[in-house]
Amino acid sequence: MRNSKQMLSYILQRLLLMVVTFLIIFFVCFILIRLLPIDPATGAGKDPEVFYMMQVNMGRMYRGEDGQYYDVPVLQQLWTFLCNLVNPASYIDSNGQVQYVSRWGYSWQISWLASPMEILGRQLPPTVLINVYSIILSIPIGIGLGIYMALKKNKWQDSTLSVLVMLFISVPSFVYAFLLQYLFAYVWNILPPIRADFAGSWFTWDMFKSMILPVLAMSFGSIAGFARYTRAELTEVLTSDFMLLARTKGLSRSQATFRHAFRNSLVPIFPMILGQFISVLSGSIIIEQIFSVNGVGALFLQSIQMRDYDVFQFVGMFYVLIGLVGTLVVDVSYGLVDPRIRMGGKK
Amino acid sequence: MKKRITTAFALLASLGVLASCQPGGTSSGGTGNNDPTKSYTYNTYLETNPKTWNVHNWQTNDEAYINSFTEIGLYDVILNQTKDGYEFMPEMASGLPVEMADPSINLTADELDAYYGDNNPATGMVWDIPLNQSAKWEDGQAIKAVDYVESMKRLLDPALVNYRADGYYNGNMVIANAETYYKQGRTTVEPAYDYINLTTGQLDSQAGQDGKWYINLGKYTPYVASVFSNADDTMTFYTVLNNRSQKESDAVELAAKRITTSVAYYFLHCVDREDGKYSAFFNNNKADWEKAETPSDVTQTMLENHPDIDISDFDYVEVKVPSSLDSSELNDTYSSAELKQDLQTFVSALGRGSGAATKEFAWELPLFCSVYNDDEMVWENVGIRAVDDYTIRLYLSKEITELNLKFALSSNWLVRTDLYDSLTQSTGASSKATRYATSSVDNYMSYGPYKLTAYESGKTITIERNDQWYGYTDGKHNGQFQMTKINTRIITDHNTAMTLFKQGQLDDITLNATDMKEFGSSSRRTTTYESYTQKITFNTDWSKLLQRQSGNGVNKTVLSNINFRKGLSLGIDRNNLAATTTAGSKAFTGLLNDLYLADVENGTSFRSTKQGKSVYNAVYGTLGGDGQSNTPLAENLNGYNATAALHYAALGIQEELGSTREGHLQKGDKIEIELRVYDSESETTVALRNFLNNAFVNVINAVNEELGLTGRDALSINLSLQKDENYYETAKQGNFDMIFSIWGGAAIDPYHMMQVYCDSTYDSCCEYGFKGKQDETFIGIDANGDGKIDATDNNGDGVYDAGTEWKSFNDWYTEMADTLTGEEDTERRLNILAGLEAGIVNRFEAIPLVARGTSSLTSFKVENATDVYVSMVGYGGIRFMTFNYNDADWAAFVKEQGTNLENLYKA
Repeated sequence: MRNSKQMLSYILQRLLLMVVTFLIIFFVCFILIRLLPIDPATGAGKDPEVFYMMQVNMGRMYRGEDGQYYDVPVLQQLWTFLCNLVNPASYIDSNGQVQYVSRWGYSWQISWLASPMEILGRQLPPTVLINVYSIILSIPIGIGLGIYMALKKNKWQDSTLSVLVMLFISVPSFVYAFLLQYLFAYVWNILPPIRADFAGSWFTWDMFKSMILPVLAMSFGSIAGFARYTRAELTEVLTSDFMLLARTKGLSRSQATFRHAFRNSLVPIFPMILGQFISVLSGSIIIEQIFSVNGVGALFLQSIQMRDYDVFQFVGMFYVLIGLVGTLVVDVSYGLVDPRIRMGGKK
Repeated sequence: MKKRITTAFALLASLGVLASCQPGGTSSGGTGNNDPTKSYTYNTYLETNPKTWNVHNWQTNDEAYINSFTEIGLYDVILNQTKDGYEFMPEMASGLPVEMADPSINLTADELDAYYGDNNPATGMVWDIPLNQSAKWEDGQAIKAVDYVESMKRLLDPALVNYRADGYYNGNMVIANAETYYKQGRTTVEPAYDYINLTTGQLDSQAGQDGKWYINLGKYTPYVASVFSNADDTMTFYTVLNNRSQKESDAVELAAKRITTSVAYYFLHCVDREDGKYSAFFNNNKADWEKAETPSDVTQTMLENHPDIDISDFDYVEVKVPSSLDSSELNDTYSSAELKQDLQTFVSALGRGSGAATKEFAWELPLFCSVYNDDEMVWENVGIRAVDDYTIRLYLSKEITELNLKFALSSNWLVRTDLYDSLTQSTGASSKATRYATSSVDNYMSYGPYKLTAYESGKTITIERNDQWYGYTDGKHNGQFQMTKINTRIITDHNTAMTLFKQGQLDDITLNATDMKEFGSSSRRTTTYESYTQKITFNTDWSKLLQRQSGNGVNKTVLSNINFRKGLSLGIDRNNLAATTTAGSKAFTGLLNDLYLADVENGTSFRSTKQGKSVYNAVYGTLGGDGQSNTPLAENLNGYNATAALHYAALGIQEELGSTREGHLQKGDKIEIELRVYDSESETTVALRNFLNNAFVNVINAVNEELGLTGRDALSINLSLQKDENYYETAKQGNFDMIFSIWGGAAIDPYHMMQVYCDSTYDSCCEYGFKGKQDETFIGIDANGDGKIDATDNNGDGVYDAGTEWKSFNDWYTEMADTLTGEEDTERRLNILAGLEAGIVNRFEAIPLVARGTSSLTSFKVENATDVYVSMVGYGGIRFMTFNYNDADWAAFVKEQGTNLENLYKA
């Protein structure tokens, strides 16, 4: 009971800290991106008015009564943004209906006048799918390999696999991506080199088949990571005293391994698995580019490069939120997985 | 506008194909119609996702991509029947534009009042465009004149501030009152020259209501045109103050210096750079502004489009200017009254006693004032009207020729207005925008040969045959637009695109320099040329080179020797350079490449004329053989002759070694050439540098051998890259040894393109040493084409010094560009153009290397109409593209090849 209360209090504290952290990052991001210089030469045609009006649309400038354009102070931009977030402006459309402007503003560079939510929403599915497939593939294989290596510790099987694991951990994933694409798509021609076009459903055979290569490219590193971690943890547990006790009490080796050793070794591995689940929403810039996935991988970077302020703000905050929630969940999970770890306990 | 149109054509042309072999094609092979029961899909890719394809708002080539299939202009520029030029074809128009004769008489009183007010329109300002009555939207609804009028209304909507609006008031086609309508209700700061009555000095009623005068040295003002006969909209008051060829009296020059200094001083010391009014301006040339300490450090580029300065500010802040022409001290405090006085002095002097410049209000002429743009400008007064259901009338405020009008109308502004309106929304308190032609197929309506049928942002664009298009049934487009579907993927990774191409899943691929090594000799390779020439430019000014020369044993002044430069130029194997360091450019020795047109009406290239062809011989006619025996240099060598290179370089070096001038070349010197480039780490730049360095080293080594310079006496040369993002500006100031200069522009007007080289007042010339001296540098040109130059050598020194065909570069240019405008002058214009081009190349300051182009491979599936690249239409474009395979046959062919066509494409 006392532990539950401590846990609840810990979670509340963390939630409060999360809000504070979120707001600080929100303000910092908002201000920094808007402090980047504007270059009229990149946007103006013959008529600089077009460029300046774009800045007006984006809330960065306003036109004075003297016809000149002036910067809107960043803090005022922030206030306007927050006001719109809470209470978006309305307008009457051509059918006479009242409509509201997007709370998070609009994209003016990546996808003209699309709301940032809409952009993220349409690019998230392929990223999520690839990540989910990758998790489904990498967790069981990675852990299985880790167990096998631990059980075969210091034998040739372990040595061979350890070399391979180190190789896959050390080599960047885009190297596999190029290699896989070259071999499977070009030399052997058994898998498509890029993601299939969307034809009404994400769950078609063609779509799945076209995602195999990016999934493999994303998974090799994870598989190697899980295998190495599992091997290390399991090796340590297998040599501990309670395992000797378990064997002396009459448990077979497999019984002792799976009932006691494996469960204990999961304590540090479980948060790693959770982290993997949380990262399904984030994409890989290079792999998505190589396989033409059109996911969210490059969206964040693109929004900064193109000064697409509202997209940057929304996508940035989305990932900040995921990061914060993920960290909290992982931290809390330690306490759930291993009762010996007390959350919020005082010294 | 011209450039935008040209780039759009280039985009279409880039889909063109050149093919001389086809391994087992099954279909038409290039002439007849395809089998209507089969599908013919063209698979291609873009590297960037278009954020919009709204014809009112597109900015980049990628954003014009979808439109190039789904929309079509009133007139289209197409490959002519002989396939060596272009012609105009009415598309959304049913016939040629009809010019109204003497509109001041033939227009009704209402029309005159609405569109021209108190002015009388001239011939060439009112045109009727008969519309194609068969034109329909993809949903079958007819397109009528009112659609064009309403579309224009939305394009010019002041609240939408569309990117393409200026194309209809700022280009060749200026629709009456369009600019006023577009800017109505806003107060803007405009050139006072447009609003001053030049007789009385009174300002128009809507101008100067706040009583303020603004000075702006970095913005165009029509006052410039009253000083320079050849002024264009790149010239500013700064140009007038600082870049005149003719010096005035000391008092006038002092006035000019004080005006320029006051503005530079004001921005350096009197404004808060973080202030909202200035922050964007200072950020634009941030590094330069941070480095600048005195007004003399402030360059013309730094002052481009600077915020307008209310001159009364000079009475509240301390602005310092010099008191004498020779003084570098800023010892006078300046006021608005003194500024006005200096302006009066300057403007009066340049006016040469004529016109408004003699009046007491002359000081106002180069200034700016606030103008309230009359908000009573109603749409009905904007110069476009539906005469009937299928005729639109354009009322222009500037005369335009039929040719230029057809060019202007080859791009369209038509949108489906009901859809457009339903997708228009507020985006803030005073602004609105539309989602028309963005994000989704549902947000768009096609009316061209093809229609958009699927769009996944960032992934796929599917365009299919639009059965509602009139061209499929009107009998005028037989054999054209044969593809049934265009499947476009967004692929950012080049290797991925290459993989798909080799597998037959893409029908074209743009090649990079690495690919060229593999596919450079492919029969399927085509090149899309740009109207740009890449050249190197040397600084030839002895004193500037001397200033830059530092360190023992280092020399730069040798670059001022024309024989030495000629030797270096002859030592460059341009064919090899183009093949090994570029992705499609071709060796070139002139300034105006094949794309420049001598006759815009029918697309005759300047290079194909006898004058264009004569230029190579005029430069290299005596540079073959050993360089001493007047042997012509073969054209296919493109200016490369190692023997002649040695001869001229050795000659130049001997001259310099024997010189007595300070800082001249000495035995054992290292000729250190700093090559300023935008990106010193780019693969292409490094490859080019290495190539040129090797070429120059070879020349110098040969010279050492020839002159017996060995051991410590041996000369050496080195080309070092120096990153300089502002290298053109650096070159214009003479602070360089050598740059890569890329030069070109509107292919339809090669004559005015020569201004940069020939006009002594033009600031953009990078050929320092020649710049500003064009009016004192003379050249003989056989302008009348009689085979001899009518010039005499009165001094008997072997150099012409008088005669009707002996003029300065400046004077030849002025005659060619400003005087010879009639059709009967064509031959003389071409003779002068060729003479000027040869004259400039012969100076070996600007040394052309390649005509820029990009190469691509095209699949065996398709064929193009011509194998010769034609200016404006490329290889014929999609209109004339034909298919060797239908989709099923192509799939079978690819399978037969083991889904790997790499080796076929290499052949």
